Formats: sequence, structure tokens, C-alpha cells
Amino acid sequence: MANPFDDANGVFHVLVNDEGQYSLWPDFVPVPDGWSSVHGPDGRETCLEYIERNWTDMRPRSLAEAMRRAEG
Amino acid sequence: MAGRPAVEDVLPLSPMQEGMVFHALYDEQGHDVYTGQMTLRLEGPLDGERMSAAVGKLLARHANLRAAFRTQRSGRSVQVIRSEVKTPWQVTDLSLLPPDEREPALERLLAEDRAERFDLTRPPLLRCRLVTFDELNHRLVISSHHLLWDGWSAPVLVRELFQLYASDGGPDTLPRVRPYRDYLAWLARQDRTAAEQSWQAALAGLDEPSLIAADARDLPAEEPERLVRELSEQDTEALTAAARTHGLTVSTVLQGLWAVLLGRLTGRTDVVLGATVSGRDADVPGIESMVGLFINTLPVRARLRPEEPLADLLVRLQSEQSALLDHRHLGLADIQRAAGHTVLFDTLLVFESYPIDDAGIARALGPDGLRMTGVSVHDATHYPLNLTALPGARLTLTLSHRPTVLDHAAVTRVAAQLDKLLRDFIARPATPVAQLGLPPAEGEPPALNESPLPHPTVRALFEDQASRTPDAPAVLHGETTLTFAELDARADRLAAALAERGAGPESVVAVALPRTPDLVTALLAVLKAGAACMPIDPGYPPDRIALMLDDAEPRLVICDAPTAQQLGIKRELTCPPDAEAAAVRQRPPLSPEHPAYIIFTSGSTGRPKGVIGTQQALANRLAWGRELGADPAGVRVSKSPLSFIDGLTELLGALVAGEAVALADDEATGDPTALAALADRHRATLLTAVPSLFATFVESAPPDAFSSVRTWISSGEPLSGELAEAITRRWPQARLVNLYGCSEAAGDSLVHLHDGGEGPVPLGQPIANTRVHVLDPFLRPSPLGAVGELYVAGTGLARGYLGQPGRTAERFVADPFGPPGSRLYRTGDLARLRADGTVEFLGRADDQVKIRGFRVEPGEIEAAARALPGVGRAAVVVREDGAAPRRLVAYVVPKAQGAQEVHGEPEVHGAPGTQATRGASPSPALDPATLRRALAERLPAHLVPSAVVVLDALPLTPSGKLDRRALPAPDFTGASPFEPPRTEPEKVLCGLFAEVLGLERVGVHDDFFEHGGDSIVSVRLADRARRAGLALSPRDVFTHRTPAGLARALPHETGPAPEEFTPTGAPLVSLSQSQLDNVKARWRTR
Repeated sequence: MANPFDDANGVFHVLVNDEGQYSLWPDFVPVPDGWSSVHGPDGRETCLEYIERNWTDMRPRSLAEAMRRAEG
Repeated sequence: MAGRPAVEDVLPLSPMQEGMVFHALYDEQGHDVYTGQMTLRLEGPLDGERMSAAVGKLLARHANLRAAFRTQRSGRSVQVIRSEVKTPWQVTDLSLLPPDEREPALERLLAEDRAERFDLTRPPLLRCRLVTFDELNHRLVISSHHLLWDGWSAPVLVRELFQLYASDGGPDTLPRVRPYRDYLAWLARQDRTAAEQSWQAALAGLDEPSLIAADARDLPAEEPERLVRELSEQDTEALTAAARTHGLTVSTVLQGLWAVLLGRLTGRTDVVLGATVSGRDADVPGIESMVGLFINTLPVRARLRPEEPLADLLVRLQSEQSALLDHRHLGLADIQRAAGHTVLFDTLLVFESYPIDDAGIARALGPDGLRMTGVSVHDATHYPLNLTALPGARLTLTLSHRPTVLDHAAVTRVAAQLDKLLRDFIARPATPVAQLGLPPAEGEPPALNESPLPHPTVRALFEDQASRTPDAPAVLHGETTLTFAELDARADRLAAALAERGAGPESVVAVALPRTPDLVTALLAVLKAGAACMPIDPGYPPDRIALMLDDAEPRLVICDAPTAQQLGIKRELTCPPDAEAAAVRQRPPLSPEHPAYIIFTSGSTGRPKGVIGTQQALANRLAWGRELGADPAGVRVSKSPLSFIDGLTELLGALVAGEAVALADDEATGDPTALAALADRHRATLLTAVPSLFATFVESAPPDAFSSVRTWISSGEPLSGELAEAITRRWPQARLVNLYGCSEAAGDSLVHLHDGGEGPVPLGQPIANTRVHVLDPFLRPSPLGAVGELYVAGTGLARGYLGQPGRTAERFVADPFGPPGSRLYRTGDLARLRADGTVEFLGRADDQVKIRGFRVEPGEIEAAARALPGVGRAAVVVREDGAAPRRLVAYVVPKAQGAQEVHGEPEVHGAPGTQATRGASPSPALDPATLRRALAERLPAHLVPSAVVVLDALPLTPSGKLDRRALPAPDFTGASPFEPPRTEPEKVLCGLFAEVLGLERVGVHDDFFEHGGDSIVSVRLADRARRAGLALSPRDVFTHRTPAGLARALPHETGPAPEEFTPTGAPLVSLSQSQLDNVKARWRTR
């Protein structure tokens, strides 16, 4: 069964939510609430490379900020 | 009449006739669905004898109506035309019945008639019955085998019949017959090669057929049921107008809409449906007035593109179809052969454009007063679902379905979707395909199974429990018992030491300890310190462990000194399990979002991937799991390896529920006898196992074993209905719970309490704070009962994969159904939903497999094999050969000398479907046993193939993919020279080896593991040996491995009889350290 996320020839976006989490996203599906496109439309590999480059801290943003505040 | 009538002609069959003969002969006893029945309603005075004579003349006119069908010795079928046949004529008078009983009597007659098969060798394959209601009311029932004529022939036949009746033996006014033979001759002249090539091109690249009921072919034929929908005149006009606007035929519109619907039903984007064409466009003079079987059933392929407007799809479909216009004479079997598929579709669309010519018939009957006032046709196909469209002022759509395959409710849903799609086409033809025909409300969208979480971290859950039941037993191991208070205090001490060494939230602490109470303490201590625990199995190959440590960069590794040395762990990283802190400090706050565990799973790219699970995810799973125990003083067996998520949830799940953990030793984890002893000794109430281990429990557990168990949990693999029944039959006091989940969602997401339902036990419904979706390839919810991919949302979701943001972002994706900004995990499992929200498992969407509950990515093993010297390409598959157990087999191709290193997808050379000869000279011969041992040094035991097979090339399908069916079964017999048994015990053991391994014969020096054995099979072997009076344990099999070795290891006295056998927890043999390591490395059931 074909999964739209695995389509090597598909057109994708890179989405990000408020917590700074990333999601690959097929171009043909409307962007879900709470997410916005930061890259695309583009090829799958390019989108994944974009994510590899930019998602450098996998902690949710609110957690990372709380930890920074706690460290003072 | 003396003798048989002469043979007038012998003719070949049309492709469609060949298909029907196949179906008629396929099941000679059952219902022949190709028995057609046409009932004419006639009003007015009728002369029965005259009608019978007219039928006789019809038979005399059309040679092909006198055909018998015979299969020659060559296997080829021919039609034999008799010069004369008897007119099959019967009369039934219902006029004596009260008027209101006549219709029901007719219905009974019709049903009986339909059930009566035609004998294909006895012409004519047609029979008529005149049924009289009263002097002016009649039914003429003409039944025939579909081999004789198609629907387009019916108007011609009926008109001719009435003309012959009207002429009443007078001069024949009918034009000369255009014989069916002309059409067969035309067929023989067609360019088959060109047609085959065109169809091959049209179906190129098609992965799989589009089947809505793949199993239906094996079920006996049955008479279909029907659901009829009639469009209003207004809608019919609107549909015709919309089609015209886009330059489309209504037939193409229906094909396209059916393709979209089929995509929804099969979860595919490249679909094929069957369409019946009239065949009357063949270039044969007078074909439109000929009687015979001209129709053909052809594949219609539609590639669905999510963003394409519907009207564009239909226009594209029409133009793709027109390229095949000249090749529609080719039979389906030939098309399938050309395309390299044995089957392409199981749904059929028939667009009937042959309305009965009422005026012509009225003219034929003349002014005598007899009129035809109605026709009903009963015919069928063997396909599970057919859509027949009958054009007219009101378009009639008939869905006929095989009721045992698709029930009325399912077909009603199909009809509703078709209706929705028709409306979409009429009103919004520019709608993108992915947004079409979203399902009519099938109940509420899945909701989160909300349930308040008492504590969002594991340590809070545990500490809360420990403070409530401080004196209750928490850990049971051998003679040792720890209470909750003792365990809590020990874990606090070690946690302080860990904190002092820098462990805390967002850091990782690895735990590499044997299964003793220290392991429990260590895991809790890591969680108390706020760090993420990463359990490591010390029995794994050192390279593998190094890889995991490299990825996770743990702050500390809790292990003893010898293990640290063995694994080469730096001194400053090592923390002994009994470490204590110099001073106790206040521990830092812990967020529910901090990691609680790092669990590695098989990775398709050749490297294991570490899942980072959060505190709240694990806490949620554990808190929910408290309800699994039914007993306040419960004891749960902990036996699953802790390097898998189920090991963690099993162990910690007991503790947060206030139940004791009965800790199994490493050696006991897969041995039913040892586990039974453990469970019985501690009166265990709950035990988790994979189905394959349950199967050995049922088969080999001693009598009365597991009598204290109240809850069985099955997990890790599909649980068959038969095994579930066997478990509940053997242990009626215990309930059986099926769990489904993965490391990416804290171990478990779905739960089902076995209720004795038929078929495989479903995965069930979401656990607390979890939601699941079954989605199609366009990310829309799949219709009820249709296959889709399973997605999980909720508190259980992991943060992602360690150091792999790209991989995380393509598996944990934006959730269109949840709260804003939430995520969905796509499992890669195929599933379908029942109306009550219960999920059923249907397999994998990718290559991942499960072996004895272990998640295995063949790609990882393939990468490991390709990395071995001399190996070029590799493919790893799961095989089930006859009686042999399910096992992993690796196929490797030697590296061609001078060949470039090939990375990624195995690129394969050679002709499709064949094992090609080598293109270049290979490197020195590869030895399967050596390769297997090399893999065992690099991979954990559950990833090591049972066999390695060396091939010249990997076999390919016509579409260029690995042809799994063409891979040979591993040949275990040729590995070493066969040496027959010499003693009685050897003879018995060789026989038992062969039996459990599914081999023809086994020699005395044949190694159990190199002949396909594994831990589960070793249990079976030991059990059968015990029954045969040879006292052997599964561990003996690991140690001694061959019939000769095992025979030598037998105690001199004969073992106890099976009935007297009582299990004990004590080891039966003492093992050297290396033997123990060997056992540890291989003896893993979970």
C-alpha cells in the first residue's frame, strides 16, 4: 500500500508547530491547524535535508525554554 | 431418431468462452454462475406448440446455439456444432392455482431452474419453459448457458423468435444468418503480438492487483444478491449533460468513479477494475445483428493522483482507453500473462447498452393480440462485486455481490459512496481526487480515550505506590524478596549516586545488568534521577552495543566491572549497581516531556534506531496497565528482555500497580518449563508472552502448570483465533488480553479482551489517552472495513528517533484530526476498522516483519550481509516452508569481480523471472555457514537468519522487483555429509530433529541451529524428546546441538516417563561461561 509520506517522487512541505517540532507533509493535503509550512513545495529528499539541517534540538520548545529559565 | 446427430462443425472458442468454460469445469458440482435466465412476460392468446416450433427454428437457424463444449486431450477446448438438436421445451400450467399463489410459484420454478446446471457436453445449452398463469397471461422462460450468447444478442434473439412465431411455419422471411463462425475467423486473424504489447504497456509498473476480497476465489460459487439504485430522470439528465460537457461517455464516467471508489476500498492509488465490452465494434460485416458471445472482460487501469481534478482524471482515462481500442479482442488470460499477473481485479463494471427493442418486437408479433409486456434477465458473474449500469430515461445501477464475501451493509455503504461520487461529478467536477467522496458520516470521528493521568512521570507513579504499600512484596527472585519500601530505598540510594555523577533530566543512563533484583533497582534509580534509561542486553554482540552507545552518548552505564571491561566502557562512564552518593541533594524538577527511555529497534537502513520515549508516554501506559491485573495481591512474571519496550512495561507495570514482580532469569525467558516453574512457585497471576511462546505453552507446559495465572497477555504478533481458543480451553480460569503497540508509542496503543470471536483476534480499541486512525493513501479515513494504514495519536507518542530529525519528521507527522499542532505516528501496519471502532490487523505496508514478536527490518540484515566480504547483493525474507517453522532466510549473491560497490536498493541483473547466469566472474565461492556465523557476530540473535542461501542472481518479477516466490527454500540437507544414526537414542533424535525442523532426514552430526532451529523449536524438540523418554532440556539443545551430541549428553538412566515429569527451577546442566553467553545471546523470545 502506498503511503503519501513515502512517495519518493511526491511534492512535500516542511511543517513546523509551536513546539518547534517538524513534520514532512504532502503538498496535496491541506496543512493541519497549528502547523505552518517553512519550506516547500519541494522534493522529498530536499525537504528531509532541510529538516536535518534545521531541527537541531528535538526538545519541545516550551520544555527547552523552561530549562533555560531554570538555569537562570 | 437413431444414432447421434452429425457433427456439422468444430470451432475454436472465443477468449471469453474459454474463461467461462474454465469456471464451469473448475467446480463441476457447485453452482454455475454463468447459467443465465431470461423471462418474457407475454399477454394475449398464445399458441404453445407454435412457440415451441419457433424455438426449434431458432436453433436450426443459428449453428452456434447447437454447440457442445469439449476439452481435448491437449487441454484445449473446442465447440462442437451438432447438425440437429432436440428442442428443449416444457410447459407448466399454474392456472389452477389461486391467482395470488401464481407469482410465488413462478419464483420457485425460476430458482429451481437457475440451480440446474447445464452439461456442457450435451447440446443445446438452452431450455425453454412456457408458464401459463391464465389464457391471456404467460411467461416464457429462456435459460441458457452464457457461453451461447451475450446480452447484446438477446434483443436479436427475441425479435427473431417472435418473427418465427408470427410466420407460423410460413415462408422464412428472416434475413440469412451471419454465422458466429465469421467472428471466430476474424479473431484468428488479429495481431496478437501487437495486442499483447499494447496491454503490457498499459499495465506496466502495476505492483499488485486491486482485490476487494482476495480470499473469495477459494470460496464456492454462489448466487449473488442485488442492490438496485435508480437515478431520477433529472439526475440522469444532469449526469449525461455533465459527461457531454467534458466530452466523456457516461460509461467512462462510471469507470472513473468506480476507480476512485475502488481506491477507497482497496487503499490503493493504482487500481484496476474489470469492464465488459460488447465486442460488437469488431470489423465483421453484420456483427450488430449476430447472435453469440462477443463480449470481453478487460482490465481498466486508473492511476489516481491526489491533486488531479476529477474531470481531468476522467478525460485522461478515456484517452488511455482509446489507445487500446484495437486490442480489445485479446482474452483476459492472455492480457494477464502479458502483464505478468495471475489476477488483476475482482470487481466488474458492465455498461449495458442493449435495451430491448420494444417497437421491433411489437412489429414482429403483428396484430394478433399477443404482446410482450416485460422482460427480466437474471445473469451473474463469479466476481464478488459487479456494477451494472442500464441506461435509459432513468439510469439504473445494480450492485450485485456475493453475500458471503460482502454483506448487505457493506454493499449499502458502497452504493452510498457511489452516489456521493456521482453527485460530486455533476456538481463539482473540478474537485481534486483526494477530496472526493469523503465518506458519509459513519458514526463519530474517533475520540481520544480520555482518562486522567494520576502522575505524569514514572517515578511519581512508583513512589506513590511504594508509600501506599511499603511492606508488600515488590521483587521476587530465587530466595530473595524485596518489599516496596526496600526497593524504593535502594533505588533512592543509587539515584543519588547517579545524580552526583551528573545524571538528570535530558541525560541518558544505560543499564547493562543480568536479570537480578539489581536490575530492577537500577532502572528505578535512573527514572528517579530524572534521566532516560537505556537497557542494554549484555549478550548482544559488542559491535552492536558500541553502535548503540555511540548513538545515545549515555552519561553513565550501570554495569559490573567485568561487563564494563568486556564492552570496553570507559571507567569514568561506569557506575556499579551498588554505588552510593557522598551527599544527598535535592533532585531537579522533572517535566512530563523529558525522556524516560531509549529503546533501540531494527532500522531498515541497516542501523538500529533509538526511540526517545517521554515520561508522560511511559507513565500513561503504566498507569493504564494497572487495570490489567485483576488481583490486589497479584504477581506478574517479568520475563521479556528489557532491551525491548515490552520488557520495561512488563516490569514497571507490575510495580506501579502495587503487584510483585516475579523476575525470570536470563535462561528462563523462553523456556516454558522453567517459566511454568517460576510462575507456579510465586503463584503468578499475570504473564505476557508472544503467540509463538503461547503455542509452546499449550503444547509443552506440564499438567497443572500456570494454574495461578488469571490474566494472559498476548503481544508482539498477530494472535490467531485457533491459538486463542487453545489457550482459553487449556486455562479456562484466565482471561486472555491482546495488546498492540510499538516502542514509538510507549509499547501499547490498542487492547482487546478475547471474547471467543471468530478469526484472528483483533488488535482492539485504544488504551487511555490514545486515539487511532485508519487512513488511506490520500490521508483520508478509510471506509469501515476497508484496508488502510494505522496511525496512532495521544499521550503515548515518543519524542522521536535519537539523532534522526528527518526520520522523525516523516514518521511522526502533523495530525489533521487532533488538537492544533499535535502529531500522529504512522505505524506502517495495515488495518481496518469495525463499526464499533475495533481495529483488525491486516499485515505490513512495508517490508518489516515480526519473528517471534521481534520487530525485524530485513533491510538491516541485508545491509549487514552486504557488508560481509565477497557479498554483492542480499535479500532477506521470512519463509514458512511446509512443517518448518517461520524463519528468516538470507539470500546472497557473490560480488562480481571488478563490480562497483552497490549501495541502497539491491540492483539486480538478469532476465526477469529467471535466475540469470553470472555477468562477471564471481569472487571465490561463498560458504553459507561461514556467512551465517559472521552475521551472528554482528547482529543480535533475533536478527540472525536461520539460513543463508547463495544464489547466482536474485530472481525478479516482470516489473523488476524481487520475486519472492521464486526464491528457493533453503536446503539444509546438503550442508554436511549425511551420517545415519548408530544407536537407538540417535535414531530417535534424528527423527525428532527432522520432524520439528520440517526436514526429510537429519544426520547425526547435523547442527540444530544451522538447519533452521531456533529457541521456540528447541522447546518443541526437548518436549518431544521427553515424551519419547529422553530427558533433555531446551538448554541441552543449545549446548549440544547435534543428535550425536545430545545422545552423548543423555543421562545413563532412562529419563522419567512424560506423565511423571515435574519441572523444577534448578538448572539441569551446568554451563561454562561461554556456553552461558551463547545461550544468553540466542535465547530470547521477546
